Amino acid sequence: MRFKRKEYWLFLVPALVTFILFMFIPFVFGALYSFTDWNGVSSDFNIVGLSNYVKAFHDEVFIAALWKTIVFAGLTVIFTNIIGLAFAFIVTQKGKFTNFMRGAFFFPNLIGGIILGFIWQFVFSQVFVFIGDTIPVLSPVFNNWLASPYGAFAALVVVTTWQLSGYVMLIYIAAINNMPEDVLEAADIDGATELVKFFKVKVPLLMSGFTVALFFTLSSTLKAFDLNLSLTDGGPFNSTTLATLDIYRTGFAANDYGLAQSKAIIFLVIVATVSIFQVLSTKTKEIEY
Amino acid sequence: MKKLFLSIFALVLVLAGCSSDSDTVKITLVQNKGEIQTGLTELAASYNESQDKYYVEVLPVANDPGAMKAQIASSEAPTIFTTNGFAQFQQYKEYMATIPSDYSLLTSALEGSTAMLEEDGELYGLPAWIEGFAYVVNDDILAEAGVTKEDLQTPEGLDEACTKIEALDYQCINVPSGEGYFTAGQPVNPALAQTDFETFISDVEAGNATLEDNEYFQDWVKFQEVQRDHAGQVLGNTYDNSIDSFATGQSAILYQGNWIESMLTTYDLDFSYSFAPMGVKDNDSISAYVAVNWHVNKNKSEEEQAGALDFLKWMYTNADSQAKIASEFGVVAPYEGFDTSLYGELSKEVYEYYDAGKGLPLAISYLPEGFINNEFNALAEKFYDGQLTGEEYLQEVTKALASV
Repeated sequence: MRFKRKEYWLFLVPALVTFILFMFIPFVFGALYSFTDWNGVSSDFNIVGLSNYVKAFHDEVFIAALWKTIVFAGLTVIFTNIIGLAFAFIVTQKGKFTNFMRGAFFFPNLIGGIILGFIWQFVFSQVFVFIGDTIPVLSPVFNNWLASPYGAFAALVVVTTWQLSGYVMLIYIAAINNMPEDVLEAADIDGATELVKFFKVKVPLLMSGFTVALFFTLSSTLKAFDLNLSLTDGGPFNSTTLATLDIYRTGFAANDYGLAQSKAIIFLVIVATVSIFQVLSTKTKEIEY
Repeated sequence: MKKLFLSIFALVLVLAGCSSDSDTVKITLVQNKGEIQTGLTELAASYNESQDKYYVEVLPVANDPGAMKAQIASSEAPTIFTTNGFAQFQQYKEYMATIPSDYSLLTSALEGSTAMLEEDGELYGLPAWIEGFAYVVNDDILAEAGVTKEDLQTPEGLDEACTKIEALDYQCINVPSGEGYFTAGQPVNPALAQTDFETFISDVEAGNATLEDNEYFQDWVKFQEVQRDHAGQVLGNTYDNSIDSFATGQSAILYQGNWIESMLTTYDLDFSYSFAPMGVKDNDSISAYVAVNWHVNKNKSEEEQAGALDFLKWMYTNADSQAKIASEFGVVAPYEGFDTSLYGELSKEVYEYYDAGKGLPLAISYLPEGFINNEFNALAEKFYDGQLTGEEYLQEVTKALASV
C-alpha cells in the first residue's frame, strides 16, 4: 500500500502498535516455542527442531479432532447461512413484527459461548429427558443428546447454528437492502417467477453478502472453542473434541506447550488456506451493477 | 466540556493518591479453590484490619491449570500461591521459597501432612487443606433396605446391597461423567494408593507392569463392574445432577468427597449420610490426603515473604479465623487446635480418618498430568457405555499409560 502523504501513517500508529504488540510478537514467540520442549512454566527448555510437528502428525486424537472440526465447520456453515438468509428475507418483508423478530433472531448472539453452553447442557440433559419421560412417544428425539457421540456432535452443530444465524442474518439484511430496486422491477416486467427471480437475480446480487457471511461463519466455526468446552467438553470419550480444544488441552492440561504450539501452527495453516480459498472463489462470483 | 475533563482528571489524581500513600507491604495471594474464595477474601480483610504492617490481596481464583500457569509466569506473580498434587508441586518447584524450620505454625501441623513437600531436608511449602473421598452413603436408605456399610466392602456384597436397594425403587449408585476426576481418577485411588504407586506407575509407563496383572486392580475392577451395572445412565449425567439425585434421596450411594457438603447443605436434607471405604483388597481406609499446599514465591522480596508466612500463621492460629474455616469453608485444615465439632459430617470423618492414620494418599496425583481428564476419562466413559469389559478396561488403561 502506498500513501500519497506520509502523515497518513501517523493515523495508523495506534492500530499498528496494538497489532504488533498483541498479535504479531506473540505469534512469532508462539512459532518459536513450537520448536522447543518448553512446558509453559519452567525457565529452561531444549530446542527440539521439528520433532513436535512429527509428533503432532502422529497424534491420533489431534488428527481426528481436525477431521471433526472440518465436518463441524462444513455443517454449521451450511445451516447458519441457509437459516440466516431465510431470517433476512422474513424480516425484510413489510409487516408488524419484523422489528421484533430482528431482535429475537439476533438475541442468541448476545449470550457468550460459555454461558450458552451451560444453558444448553441443562436443556439437553434435563429438559429433553423430562419431555421424553413425560411423553414417551417423543423419547426417540427427546433424550439426553450429550450421552452419545453422534448426539453430542449434533448438539454442537444445533447450538452453534442457533447462535450464529442471527449475526449472519444482519449481514444478509444489509445485502438485501442494497439490492437495486430497478433490477428487480425489470425482472418482474420480464415475467420472471419468484423462483427464477431468486436464483437468477437475487442470489447473484447478494454475492458480496455471501462472501462476508461465509468468511465469518467459516472462520468462526473452524476456531470454535468456548461452546465446545462448556457444552460437551469433548465428551463422551473424546468424540467431540475439536482442534482448538485438543490444542488447549495439550498445552495446559498435559503441559506440553511446544507440541501445542506446533499443533496450533498446523491448524493456522489449514484455517488460512481454507479461508483464502473461500474468499477468492466467492469474490470472483460477485457482480458489478 | 473542559470542566468535565478537569474534574475527571482531578478525581483520577485523588484516587491514585489514595492507593499509593502508605508503607504497608502488599502481599498477593492466588489459590485454586473457587468455593473458598469468598471466605478467604473475608479472612484477608480481617487480617488487614488486625495489623497495618502487611496488606493481603486475594487475586481472582485460578481454578484451572491454565489460569494458575498464567498467574505464576506473569511479571505480577503472586506472593502466595497453591499447588495440588505431586505433578504440580514438581512443576512449580523453582518458584518456591523454602520454609524456615523454626516457623512456629509447623509445630501444629498434623503428622505426615508435610511429607510430600519435603525434599533434601528442605520444606517447600505448607499443607493447606485435607480432603477425603470414598463412597458417600445415605444411611437411611441403607437401613430401609436392611444393608449395613460392612456389606458394601466386597464386590459381591455391594452387588447384593444394590439389588436390595433397587427393589425399593431407589437408584443404587450414581456416577457422573464428563469430568475425569469423578468418573475415573478418584474411583481408582483405593487401588493405586495400595500399590507402591510411584514405582508401579513408572513400571507401567515403561511396559514392565500391567494393571490387569495387579491384584489390587483385579479386585478394583470388580467394584467398577458392580457400579456400572447399578449406575443407570452414566454418560451425560453431570456432576450437579449426580449430587442432586443423592441430595433429593433418589440415589443411595455416590463416590464423592467432603467438598460436596457445601452443596448438600443448600438442600433440606431429611436423612443422614456418611463415608464408607471402597473395600479393594480388604481396604478399610478412605482416601484422605493433603489436597492443596501453600507456597511462598521465592522471587519476592524478603519482606513480602515474611508477610506471607505471617498471614498463613494467623489464618491457622487465630481463633476467629479457625472458626470461620471450620464452619464455612467446607474443607479440613491439617493443623491442630481446631474445634472439630464445627466441621460438617463428612469433613469431621475426613479429619478422624486422617488423624487415625487411615487416610490413603492421593496416589492419582502421581499419574502424568492431563492423563486423568483426557485418556483415562475417555476409557472410563467407554467402560460405562458397555464398549469395554472390565478386563479390557484395565488393558486399555495400561496401554494408554504406556504411550503417554
